[in-house]
Amino acid sequence: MPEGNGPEDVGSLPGLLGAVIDGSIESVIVRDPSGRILMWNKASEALYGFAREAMLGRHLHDRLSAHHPMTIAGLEQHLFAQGHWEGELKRTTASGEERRVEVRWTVLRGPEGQPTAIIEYGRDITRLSVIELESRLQAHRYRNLFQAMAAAFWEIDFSEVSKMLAQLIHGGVEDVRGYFEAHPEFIDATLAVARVVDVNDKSVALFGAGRREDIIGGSLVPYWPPESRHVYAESLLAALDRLPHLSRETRLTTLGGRKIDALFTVCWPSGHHGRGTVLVGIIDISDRVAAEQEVRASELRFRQLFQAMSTALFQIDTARQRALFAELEARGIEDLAAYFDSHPGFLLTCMDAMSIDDVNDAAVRIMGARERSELVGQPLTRFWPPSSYPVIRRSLLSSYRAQASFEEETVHYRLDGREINTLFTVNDSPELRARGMVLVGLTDITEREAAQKALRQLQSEFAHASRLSMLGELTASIAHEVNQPLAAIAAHGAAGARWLSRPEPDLDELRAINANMVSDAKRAADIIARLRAMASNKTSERQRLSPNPVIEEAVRFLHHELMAHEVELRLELSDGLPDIEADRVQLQQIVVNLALNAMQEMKRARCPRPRLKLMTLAGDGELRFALEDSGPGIPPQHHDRLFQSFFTTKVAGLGLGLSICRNIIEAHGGRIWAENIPAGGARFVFTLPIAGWQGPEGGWPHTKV
Amino acid sequence: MPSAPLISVIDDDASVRLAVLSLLRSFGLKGLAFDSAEAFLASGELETTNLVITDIHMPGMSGIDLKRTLDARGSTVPVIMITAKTEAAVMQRARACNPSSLLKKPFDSEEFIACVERALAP
Repeated sequence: MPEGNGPEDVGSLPGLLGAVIDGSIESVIVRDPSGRILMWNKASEALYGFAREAMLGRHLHDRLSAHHPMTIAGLEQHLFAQGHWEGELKRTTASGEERRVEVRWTVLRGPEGQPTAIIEYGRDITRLSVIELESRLQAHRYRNLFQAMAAAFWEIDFSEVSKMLAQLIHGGVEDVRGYFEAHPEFIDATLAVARVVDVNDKSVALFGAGRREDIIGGSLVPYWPPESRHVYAESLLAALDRLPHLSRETRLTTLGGRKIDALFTVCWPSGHHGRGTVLVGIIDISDRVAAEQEVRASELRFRQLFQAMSTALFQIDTARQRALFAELEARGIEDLAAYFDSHPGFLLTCMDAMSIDDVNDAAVRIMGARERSELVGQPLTRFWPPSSYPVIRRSLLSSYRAQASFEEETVHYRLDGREINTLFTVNDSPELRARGMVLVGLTDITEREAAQKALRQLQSEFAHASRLSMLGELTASIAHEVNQPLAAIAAHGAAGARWLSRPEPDLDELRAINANMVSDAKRAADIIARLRAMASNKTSERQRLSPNPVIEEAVRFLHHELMAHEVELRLELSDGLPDIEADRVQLQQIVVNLALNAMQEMKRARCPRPRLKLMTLAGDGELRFALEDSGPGIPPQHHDRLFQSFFTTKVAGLGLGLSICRNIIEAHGGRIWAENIPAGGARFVFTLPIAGWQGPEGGWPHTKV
Repeated sequence: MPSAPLISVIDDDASVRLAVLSLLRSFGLKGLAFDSAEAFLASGELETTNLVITDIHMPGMSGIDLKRTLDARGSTVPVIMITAKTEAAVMQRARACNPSSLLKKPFDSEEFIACVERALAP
């Protein structure tokens, strides 16, 4: 390499430099950008047979009749674009002989970047032996490789740096590392004296924005930002320690000032420890670093989620278990189930091959551990009671078929050996599989079952509360009902007393009064009994009932409400209906509830002439009860939810009335539904099966069994 | 008393109707029973009736409606109202139409007879 000599010096070849160039065994020729020869050394005279004087100022390519498979103009174009070219040319000597010459061209540029000269090193390769040719070819391949690699390669002249290091050691510095740390300016100086001898195209693209000559001949200072100089220092230490090579990830700077994350590798060719040139490889890993940061971030998100989940989560290391499976697959075993059957020990081998990698807090709790460390690293075997082996066998079969998830209820051992009922869920997604792990979620079903029981209890209490609230609405009505017979009894009693106080009591009158009192008292007692039955939360008491009287009795409860809301009630009860088997109180509750709902809806809609119609009729093996109103009908959007728990259109309603009605009807083997009447109003219909009758006459006339 | 006064008893509840008539009879009073206000008005007995004893809550015309109708017709026949309802609002509405007496079911027989005698007093 011309040691920093400007092109303006080349033409005049001042003393020492001229002697050096003349002494080179290689042909060295300098030409201007138009191709005119500026310098011609002795080796060139020997090679081509032309004297220096005959060549200076002449056009190089014309004079030597240069040939190349590509046109010479094409080579020149490439040269000016890249700043460098090397290859083989055919040239003709003064004696007319054709020579094969291997040349290396480098463009020298002026301060504004304009090309000022091209320096050429040339070697005659015409007479190289076959072996030499072959080795040239190898070298050429190496050069091609050097150029074609995706990695950036730099050849660095390290001799000045070596001298500085040698001086340092001779100067008595023993702790070189400490010295480097204390004297960053020393590192800066070594960067400044290291010379770039050569770089490949990738380096030019990565660091030089396409201009080779900006890099070649320069120092390393522009590429090593202060924050990365410790890595450079480390490479110097490695050189002193005579390590053959060193690789580090670091951050470098391009000539344009862009920071890149790089994998920096330096190697000292053997026999050149600390001397001569070194080869540096740089791979741009900015994308990889960014990707890794993303991976770390998402890993962190996963970890945080993993910890925060209230479900007990276990991250299981399945790498060894997968290896076992891969072995089976390699042996062509497709039917794992059969393999398990024929190799009873294999299931336990698989379980031993899986261990806990990580757990969250919920998992620590569910397993009765005090801290994570009691679980992490444990093989799965200790958490599975033998009674649950079939479950883990099925989960492994599912995994073998590459199914992404598995779920089954099972039993697990806690750390203290106690068994818990669990819902065992496996996530075996391809992403997790690729990382040699699965995620296992455990839910304590014991808790779930307790929760379900509590829920059932709550529902029952809600139902009771709803009955009581219905009762509350009916209290006034009931008071009215009870007060009627009480008033009658009191009046009869007083009348009886009057008759008895007469000198000759009218016995007929007294007998009538007495009979009336007994009847009224019985009526009052019936009402109280109904009331008590309604308020108590007792289970259903089925009995054989004639449907119409039950309905008539229920209507009595409604009397007061019908009056208060000025609702006209019409009963259309069919004659000769067969009996049903039902709980009388519950049946009446349903009729009352449906009627109260209808009345409230009609009132809400300010229905001008509120009317209710109650009908009974026998159908196919069942009795049908229908309640029609003259209200606004059921809005279509409510239709599907009417019988759901907690659905209500009332401000203070619980939304349990219709849901309880449905429960009761369904418990009786009937159905309940609602529909709108085309002429207006809503119709609620429920059915109850006709009581099975074993009498000698056979079935009821209306019944088709 | 020149002739036994005629008392019309209106209640949709049959047992109460029966019991009130029985009580009146034990005091030597004659009663006529009607199961609705409409039935009473249609019977033409208003002209001969000295006292009306009516329930308030009945299907169709209520006791209060009946009193207003009688007032509107210029009738001065005294009206005793009895009710099984206990809500204050109902009692207030009943009192507002100025009945001779207002009794809650079940009523005290002595009080009831006192009310009847007071209403029948010239």
